[in-house]
Amino acid sequence: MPPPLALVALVLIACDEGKSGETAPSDSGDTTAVPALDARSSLVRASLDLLGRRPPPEALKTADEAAFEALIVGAESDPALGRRAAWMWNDALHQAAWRDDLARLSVLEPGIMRSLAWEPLAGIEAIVNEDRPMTELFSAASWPADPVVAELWGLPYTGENGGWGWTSYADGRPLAGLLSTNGLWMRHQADQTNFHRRRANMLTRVFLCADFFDRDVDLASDSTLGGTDVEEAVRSEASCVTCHAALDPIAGFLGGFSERSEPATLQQAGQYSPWLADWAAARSPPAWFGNPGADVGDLGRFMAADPRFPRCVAQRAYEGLTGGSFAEAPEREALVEAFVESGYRWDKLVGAVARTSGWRTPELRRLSVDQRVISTTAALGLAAGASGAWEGLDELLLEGDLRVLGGDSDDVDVLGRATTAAPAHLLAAEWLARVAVPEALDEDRLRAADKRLLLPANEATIDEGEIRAQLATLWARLLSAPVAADSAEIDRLYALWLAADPADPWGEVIEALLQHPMMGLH
Amino acid sequence: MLLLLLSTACEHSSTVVEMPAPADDSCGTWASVGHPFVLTWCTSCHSGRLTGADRYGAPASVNLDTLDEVRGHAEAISRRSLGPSADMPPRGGVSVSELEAVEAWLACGAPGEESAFPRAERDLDLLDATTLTGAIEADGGGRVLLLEEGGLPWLTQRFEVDNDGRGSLVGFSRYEAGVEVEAVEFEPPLQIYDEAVATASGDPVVTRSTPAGSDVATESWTVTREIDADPDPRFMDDAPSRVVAELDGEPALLWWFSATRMLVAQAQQELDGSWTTVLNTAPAAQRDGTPGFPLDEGGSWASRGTSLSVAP
Repeated sequence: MPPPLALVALVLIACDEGKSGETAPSDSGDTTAVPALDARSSLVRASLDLLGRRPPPEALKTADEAAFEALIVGAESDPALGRRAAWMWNDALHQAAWRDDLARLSVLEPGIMRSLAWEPLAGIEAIVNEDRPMTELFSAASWPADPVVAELWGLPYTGENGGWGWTSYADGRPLAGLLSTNGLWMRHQADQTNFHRRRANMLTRVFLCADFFDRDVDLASDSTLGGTDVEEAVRSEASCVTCHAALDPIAGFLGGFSERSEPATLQQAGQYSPWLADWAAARSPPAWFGNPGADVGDLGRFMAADPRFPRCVAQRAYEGLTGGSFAEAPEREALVEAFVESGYRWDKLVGAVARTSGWRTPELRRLSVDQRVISTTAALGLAAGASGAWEGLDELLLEGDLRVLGGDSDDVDVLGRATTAAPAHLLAAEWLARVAVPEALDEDRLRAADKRLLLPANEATIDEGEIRAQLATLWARLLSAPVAADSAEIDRLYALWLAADPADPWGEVIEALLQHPMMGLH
Repeated sequence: MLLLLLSTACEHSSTVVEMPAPADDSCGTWASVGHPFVLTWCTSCHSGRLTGADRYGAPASVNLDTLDEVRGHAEAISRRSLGPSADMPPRGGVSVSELEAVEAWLACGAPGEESAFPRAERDLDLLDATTLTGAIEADGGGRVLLLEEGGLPWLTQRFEVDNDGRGSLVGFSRYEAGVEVEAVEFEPPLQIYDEAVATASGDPVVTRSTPAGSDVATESWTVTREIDADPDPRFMDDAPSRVVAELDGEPALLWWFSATRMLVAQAQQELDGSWTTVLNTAPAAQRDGTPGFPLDEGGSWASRGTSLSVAP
């Protein structure tokens, strides 16, 4: 019987209310007293935020400030940090679930779609995991490719076991980190009428947190645009020049990459043309906010040196982890400074964010869909696949439908993220549970009895004590909260177990637990 | 049952911990306020690295690239951008929070430390080869300036300026992915530039005021590295046509082929026994608004003083 979703939703929403006002930081005195999340909840939140998974139940037995610090420090060398960073950057880059342009190029194979889309994010993941400065986003002479990407573009494959390995495009394009990747420019298109301006604005929006569309320019006063050639107007009309004096020279860097109007095949879409780069540069001399350059290599150097870049990275990390406003964060300058002084290291930055008052407020926050799916994968003991989730969930996670239903972006049409929980999110939770739980139980049955994660050693047991003990174990594992076998929570869970289909009581109970509101909040 | 289960979901205890107080950043610094502001709103026009139409009418004397320059124009910035009669940027657009931040920063005396913004690693698109911004130190003193030949980013002139400000063209280089792969050295150097004027930023602007020596066919060159005589094979959809043509009155090979997305031609001339690409036609033709012409009909066009003709 399906769960009473409306009731569930009401409870879920109620959890997100009534806590505001507890956390407003004081701005006086040498120290600021901030109501903060307790140590156990901080551990859970930090693990989910930095690594995308829940801490193991045994780690919560000694939850204190020392354990919290140890988790943050340990996260710096955990490969899950890079995957989590990639997903956080996807909130700005919108790569992961993008598919729409690929059908135009007759790319219908899911594996190719997935690899093309993930290419820019794979580099972010590698930069973070290899403790490289984030400026290598724009300066690295190589970028990861998996076997699919390597074969598509004729790149040497250097990875292992089908994973991503550093390599370089060898077609003469300037090498400037993700700025040189086909995956980025196939996702972020231009056409013959915007002359790469859309791409230029993407760069400033994502990496400077400066969107030209946010400029509140007076367009009405004396514009004669109606009677003027548009391309002439952008160089002569003051209303236009306010943006285009900066935007168009950035676009001038990007002419070598193909755009939507022309290529008809995937191979053509992935070719870099120095002649077209030259043509675009002649049309709009490349410059980065008044600093002339020659090609994408110069663009990368300018972006890496721009003082707005570390500020934007700090903003993305802070707002991505807290949901709060960076502009109102009392620690914002300290975060920027810490990031720069660390040598632009992402791990140091997110660790610093987790130590801010804004991060440790007790208000519950919604997990992103990637956090929820990946943490569920880990909690169920399923092996992580390409996306960080179990491979049976890869496709689901990388499809826009589940992500939108769960409150996130589909990377094409819905580009924002819900910051609060909503009833529809439970549908995504139910979807996730029904796909994952049967597989997880099958996997668990293959484990030795004393190594099982989900089922009791004797699955057929009807002994109430054994069942209650296992339910408490499940509660602690899936919800990251210790609970006694004779508690009210387990009373209710045991009642659910008794009412379940006798053929699959554990499956029904675990599915219900995966739809518990705290599975989607932290 | 599930509702009962869910009813326990909202329990979350709180404790109070001491957190570091935020630093007083009411003034801001060049790095946190001043530089981001001028980059976003000013230097796309008010940069000493821009010339001519690329300044969109900004006076040549008003540049805001550096902290010193901004301090020098602080009063004008306040008056033109922050005051009641603000007219910069020309149609506004700056958010209130940005204006408040830069106003506070200027009121504090524009604090901060100078930070140099990088320059292009190699030289820039110089459509008429009259200005440049890139320079490197020459081995024997003086400076070697990098000028692009005819707007081709991968074909670059190396131009040496002596300490008297006189210049000589010492060679061409061809680059791929920022790496020099071919070069031609001129011995003696071609005296084709004769004026180098230092700008406020310290880099010279070279004016091509004397065309003498630009007729390369009259010069004696020493080719120091072999030049690839084949057209660049990248992006060719089909086999190129090879025709004999004239370039500036000298014999040349013209490779004309359909590239992936546009018709491209390369003209190559024999220079002291080796062939080098000296012209790339399609971008220049489009830039000038000059249409190409069918090969079998022949035709000619000129771009920036270089003429190309093809016999039918």
